[in-house]
Amino acid sequence: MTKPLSLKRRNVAVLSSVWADGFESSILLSDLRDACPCAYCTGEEIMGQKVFEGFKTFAPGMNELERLQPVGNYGVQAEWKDGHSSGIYTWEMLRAVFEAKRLSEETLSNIDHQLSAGTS
Amino acid sequence: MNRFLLVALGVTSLLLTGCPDPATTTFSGIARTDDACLVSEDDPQDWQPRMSTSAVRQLRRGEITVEVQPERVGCIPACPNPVSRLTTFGFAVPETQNVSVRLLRSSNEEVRTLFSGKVTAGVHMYELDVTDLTNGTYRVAIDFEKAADTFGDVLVQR
Repeated sequence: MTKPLSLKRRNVAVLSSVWADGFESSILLSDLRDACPCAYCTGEEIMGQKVFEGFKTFAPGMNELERLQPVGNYGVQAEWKDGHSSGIYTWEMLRAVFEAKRLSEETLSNIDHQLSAGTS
Repeated sequence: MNRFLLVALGVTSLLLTGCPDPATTTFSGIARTDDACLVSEDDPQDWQPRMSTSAVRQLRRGEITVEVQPERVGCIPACPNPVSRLTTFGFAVPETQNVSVRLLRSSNEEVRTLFSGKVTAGVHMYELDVTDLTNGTYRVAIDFEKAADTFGDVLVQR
C-alpha cells in the first residue's frame, strides 16, 4: 500500500501531496470535502443494503481544512472549519481522490494568482 | 451536484429573503469558483459578501458552489414531488444541534428513521430513494432540538 510522504496545504484552497511511489498531486480542498467518507456524508449500508443515503452539506467553512490528524498507520481524519470531523480517509481513499481530482499546473498557477490578487 | 447547488440557491433565497429570484437575492454566505476564488468583487476578505451579478451567472452555469449560513431553521420541500425513484429534500439550521429525520406513512406510522444525530450549522440536503416504497403519500418529519418540528409530504407515484 502506497502512503503519502507529505500532505501540505499549499494555500487556503489547495492540498498538495507527495507519495512514496513518486506520485505527486494537488487537489482543491472542496474536492477533499466532497469525498468525505463518513456515514453522514456518504450514507450507510447494513448487510449490503443502503439504509441511509447521506446528506450533502452546505455550510460556512465547509471547505476550510483546520487539520489532518493521523489515524493509526492507515489514514488521516480531517477536521473542517464548520465543525465536521467524522471523516477518516484511508490512504487508498486519499490516493484515489488525489488521482481523480488532480489539478493541472496551469490551474494551480491561476489559483495562486487569484488568491494573491485577493489579498494584496 | 449541480442540482444540489440549485436547490441550495433556492433555499437561500427562500430562507433569507423570501425572494426566489437569484438575480435579485442578497446572500449571506460565501461563493467560490471552481478555482477557489472568492467572488465578492467588492471585498474578497468579506465573509458575508453580496452575490455579484457575475457570480450569479457563474452559479447558473454550475461553475461555483455556495456555502450558506442560514439565519433560522427551515425545511426544503421534496423536489421532484410526486416522485417515482429519487427525490431531494433538506433542512437548514443556524447552529449545531440534534436533528432526526423520519419517513412516515400518512397515518404517521414510521417507515424508517433516515437520520438521527448532531448536525452542524448549514443547509443539509438528502436524496431519498423511494424505489422500495409502494405508491401513496408519505411524510418526511424533521425534528429539531432547538426549533419546532416540521413535516413535508411526498407523493410516491409510478
